Amino acid sequence: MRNMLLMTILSLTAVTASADAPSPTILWDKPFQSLYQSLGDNSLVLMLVTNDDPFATVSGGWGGELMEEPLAELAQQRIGLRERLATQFLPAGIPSVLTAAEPRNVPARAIVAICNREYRLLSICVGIPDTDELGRLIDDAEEAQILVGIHRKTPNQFTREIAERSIDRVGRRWQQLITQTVADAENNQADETTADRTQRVVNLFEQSYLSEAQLRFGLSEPEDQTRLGLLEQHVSTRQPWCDSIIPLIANTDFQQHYRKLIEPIWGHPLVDANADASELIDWAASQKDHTADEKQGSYVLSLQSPIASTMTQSKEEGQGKGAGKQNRVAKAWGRVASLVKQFPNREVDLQQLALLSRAQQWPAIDIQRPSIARYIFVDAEKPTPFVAHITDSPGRFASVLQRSRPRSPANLQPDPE
Amino acid sequence: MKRLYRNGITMLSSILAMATVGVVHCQAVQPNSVTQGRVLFEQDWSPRNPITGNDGLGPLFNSTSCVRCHFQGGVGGAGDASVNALTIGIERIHAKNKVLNGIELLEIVASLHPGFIQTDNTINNILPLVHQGGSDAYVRQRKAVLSQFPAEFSQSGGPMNAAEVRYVSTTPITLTRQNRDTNVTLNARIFQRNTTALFGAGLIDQVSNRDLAIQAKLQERHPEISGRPATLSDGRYGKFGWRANVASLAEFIDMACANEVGLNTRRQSQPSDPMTPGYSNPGIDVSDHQIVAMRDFIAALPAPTRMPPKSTRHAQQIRQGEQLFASVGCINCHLQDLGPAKGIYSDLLLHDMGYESSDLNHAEPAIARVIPLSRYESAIARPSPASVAVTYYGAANLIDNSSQTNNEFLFQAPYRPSEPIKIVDVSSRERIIELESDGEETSSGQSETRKVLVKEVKYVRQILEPTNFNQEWRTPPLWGVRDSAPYMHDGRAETLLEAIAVHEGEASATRDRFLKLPLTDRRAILAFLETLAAPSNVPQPAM
Repeated sequence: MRNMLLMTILSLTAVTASADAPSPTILWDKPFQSLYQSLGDNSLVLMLVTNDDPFATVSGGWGGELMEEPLAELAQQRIGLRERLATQFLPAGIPSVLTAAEPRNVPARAIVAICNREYRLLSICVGIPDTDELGRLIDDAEEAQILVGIHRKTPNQFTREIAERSIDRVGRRWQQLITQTVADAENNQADETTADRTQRVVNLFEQSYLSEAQLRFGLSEPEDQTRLGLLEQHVSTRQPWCDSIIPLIANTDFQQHYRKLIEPIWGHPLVDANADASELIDWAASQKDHTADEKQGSYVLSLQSPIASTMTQSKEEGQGKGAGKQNRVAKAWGRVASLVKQFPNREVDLQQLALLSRAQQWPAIDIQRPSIARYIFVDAEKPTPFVAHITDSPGRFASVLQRSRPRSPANLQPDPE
Repeated sequence: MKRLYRNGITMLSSILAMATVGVVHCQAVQPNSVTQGRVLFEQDWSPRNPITGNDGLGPLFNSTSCVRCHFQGGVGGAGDASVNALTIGIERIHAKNKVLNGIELLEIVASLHPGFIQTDNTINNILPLVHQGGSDAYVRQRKAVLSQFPAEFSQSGGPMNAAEVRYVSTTPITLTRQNRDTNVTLNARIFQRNTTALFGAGLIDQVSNRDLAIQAKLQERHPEISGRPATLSDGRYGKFGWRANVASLAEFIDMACANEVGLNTRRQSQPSDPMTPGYSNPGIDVSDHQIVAMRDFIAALPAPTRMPPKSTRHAQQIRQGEQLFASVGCINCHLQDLGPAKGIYSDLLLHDMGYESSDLNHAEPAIARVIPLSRYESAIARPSPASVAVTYYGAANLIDNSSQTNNEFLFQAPYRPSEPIKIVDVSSRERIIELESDGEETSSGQSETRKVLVKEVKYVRQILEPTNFNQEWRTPPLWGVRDSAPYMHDGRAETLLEAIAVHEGEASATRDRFLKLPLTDRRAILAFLETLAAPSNVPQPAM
C-alpha cells in the first residue's frame, strides 16, 4: 500500500514538479520489507540509513528531508524511475536510553544504498546525495543490475567489470588497491561468509581511506574525527572509498552485511529498533520470575566490544603508566569476571542492550561516558542498572557485585585469590 | 646581486610608467600591442643558437609557452596540478659530533643536487626543480630526485593530480652520511606552486597601496585574522604571486618569462643549468617592448564572471550561500571588492595559514618600522656580503658554515625572520671629499689635504616583526574559482570542499563555523562559489 502511495506521489511529482516547485514529501517504508510485485522485477530499493535515535525518530530522520529535492528532480528527469523505486529508512544510531538521555548522534551520519528487490546491494554512497550524485548512484545500480543478469554464471566477470568502472574513477592508489583485492578475491574464494568478507575488505579499505582523508582534509588530531564526520555528510568525501569497495560487495545480501559495512564508518555498532530481542527480553524477565528473593533476580550483562571501542580500549590500556599497573588492573578485572559468573549473566551487543532497556523501561544509562561500558549490572532491588566502564576501578564494581551476591550457598564461595 | 636588483628596479620603473598609463587609461593601449601580447603569450618558444645573440627558450624551462600552463577556462586561465612548479628546499642539515668545513658542506648539499651551489660557492637552501631542458646530467639528477617520491608525475613535469601533489608534499627527503664518528643528516622537501589564473589581473594591477593598507588596518581590530601587506624591499606592496612578492603585473610577467620559460629579460636572468657552469645567455630573449605587450594583453583579459542561476531555487540557494559566506567569516579575507577589483573576493594580504601550509620560499618579512639612514664607504669596488635576492617563488636563505658550535653543525631553515633588523640599500652616489692627513705636515708647515672618492649610500633600517613567514600566503582571489581547480598554493585540494577543509591558522575558526553549518547551508556556500566562473569571452587556447 505504501509503495502504491509512493508511486502516486512520484507520479504527481512528474506531473507537477517544475525546477522551482516545492518537493513533495517522500514516504519512507520500514527497511527490508518485501516489495510489491507491482513494482516490477527491475525495481530498486533506495535505503537511507542514518544515525538518528532509532526509538525517537520521525520518518526519514535528519536526511529524509534533504533527499526530497534530489528524488523529486530525478523522478522528473527519468521517465519510469518512479514506477520501480521504493524508499526505505533505517534509523540506526545509539538511542538516548544508552547515552544518559543526551542526544549524541553528532555529527549526523547517513548512508544511501540502492538494492534490488531481493536486497542485493547494487550501489552505495556515504552522505546525502544531491541530484547529480543520486543520479549517478542510480545509474551505477542499474548498470550493476544489468551486469548481474549478464554474468549470472560468471560472478568473477561481474566483479571485474564493476572494478573496471571504479578504476576509471579513482586515483592511482585506489586503483592499485582495487586491482589487488579483486585478484585476491578471485584467487581466494574459500569459506569466507559474505559478512566476514565484507568486514575484511572494509577494514582494509578503511585504513587507506583514513590515511588519504588526513591529507585531503588536513586532519591530524584525534578530535578531527568530528570534522571528518561532518565532511562525510558530503558524498564526495567517501566517494573514492565507495567506488573502490563496490566491486567486492556488489550483488551481496545487504541485509546480511550492512552492519559490517557501516559500523567502521560510524565507529559504533548500529541499533535497529525493529530487530528481534525477544529471547533476551524473556531471559531477563525470567530472572525475576524464577525466584521470590528479589536479590536473586539480579543479573549481569557484559557488553561486546564494539569495533571502534576495541581500538579505544587497547589504546587506553596501552597508555597505562607501566606494565605493573596494567597487570594489576587486568588481574582485578579477572576477579570481576569470576564474580560475574556467580550471577546469571549474558553477553549482549549494543542493539540487544538498547532493546532490553526499552522493554524494561530502565532510566537512561550512559554506555559511552566516561568511557565505553564493560558490564551492566541489573540489581533486582534498584531501578537503575549499574554501569561499569572500562576506565572505572574494577575494585569498586567488584564491591557492588559482592554486596549483591545471591544468597545461594553454592555461590558463597570465597573469591579466587 | 643587490646592486643588479636595484638597477633592475630602476630600469623597470620606466616600464612601470608605461604599464600604469596602459592600464589606467585602457584606451591608450595600442590594440596591436594587445594583439602582439597574445601572440607572445601563446607562442611556443624554441631554443636558439646563442651565437646569434641570445639562446631563446631555456636551457631550463617549466614550459615552452605561457598558455601551456595558463589554459583553464581559456587563454590566461589557471593551470592544473600537472604544470605545478617545483622547488626543493633544504630544511635542516645536522652534523653530530662534527664540525663541517666548507668543502664537506658543499659535498653533502651537492649529493642532494649540485644546483643548490652558486658559482661563488654560496649555498641557497632553495632550488627550483625546473621541469624541462638542461644537460643530460641535469635531467638525470632531476629524475633521481623525483624517483624518491611515491608519486606519479605528468609529462609536463608536475604531479598528475591533487592526490599526487599531496604525496609529493608529505614525503620528506632524508640524506644521511654516516661513518665511524660522524653522522650528517640533511632533510629536505619538495614544495609546489599551482598556476594562478590571470583573468582580472589588470584590475589587480590597479589596486593601490592605500587600498591594501586600509584593509590591513581594518583587520587589526579583528579578533581572528590579521592580514598584512607584503612589503617589498623598495617599500611597495606586493600584489602578485602566492606570496604577493611581486608588485606589478609587468614585473610578474618579467619574472615568469625568465623563471618559467627560461627567457632572459633585461632584469631577470633565466635559470642556469648547474651542470654546465660558466654558460650564460649572451643576450636578451624578450625585450621590454614585448613584456609590455604581454602585459597589455593580460590586462585586457576580461575579469571573471558570475554564472547565472539555473532556476529560481538555484538563485535562492546562491543568495543564501553568499549570505552565509559572509556570516561565517569567509568574507573577511575573501573580500568582495578591493579598490577597482570589483568581485575579486580577496584582500590580497598575507595571512598565516598554519604550519601544514609551510613552504621554505618564504614571504617577505613583516616590517614594523623603517628608519632612513645614509653611510659613506669606499668607492672602490668590494665584494658584497653574501645574500639571497628575492626570488620568483619567494625569498630563500643561505646555508653557510657559520652555524657551528664546538662540536656540531646545524642549519635549520628559519620559520620566522632570523634577525630583527634588515638593512636595505636604497640608492648611492659617488662624491669626492677632501680629507686632512693625520699629523703629517708639508715643508711649509701646513697640514696636507687629499681628495678621496667615496660612495654615499642611502639605506633604510627595517625593523622586522617575527611572523611565521613560511606559512603566510596571499588570499587567492576567488573570482573564477569554479574554473581553476585544484586549489591552495600547491594544488593540494581537488575540490572546493577540500580547499575549505584545509584552511588552518587564521582561517581555522572560519573553517569550523563552515563545517558546523547544516549540510544544506554548506551546499549553498559551495553553490555560490561555483557561480564564480572564468569569463566566457576569452580566447580559447589553440593547442
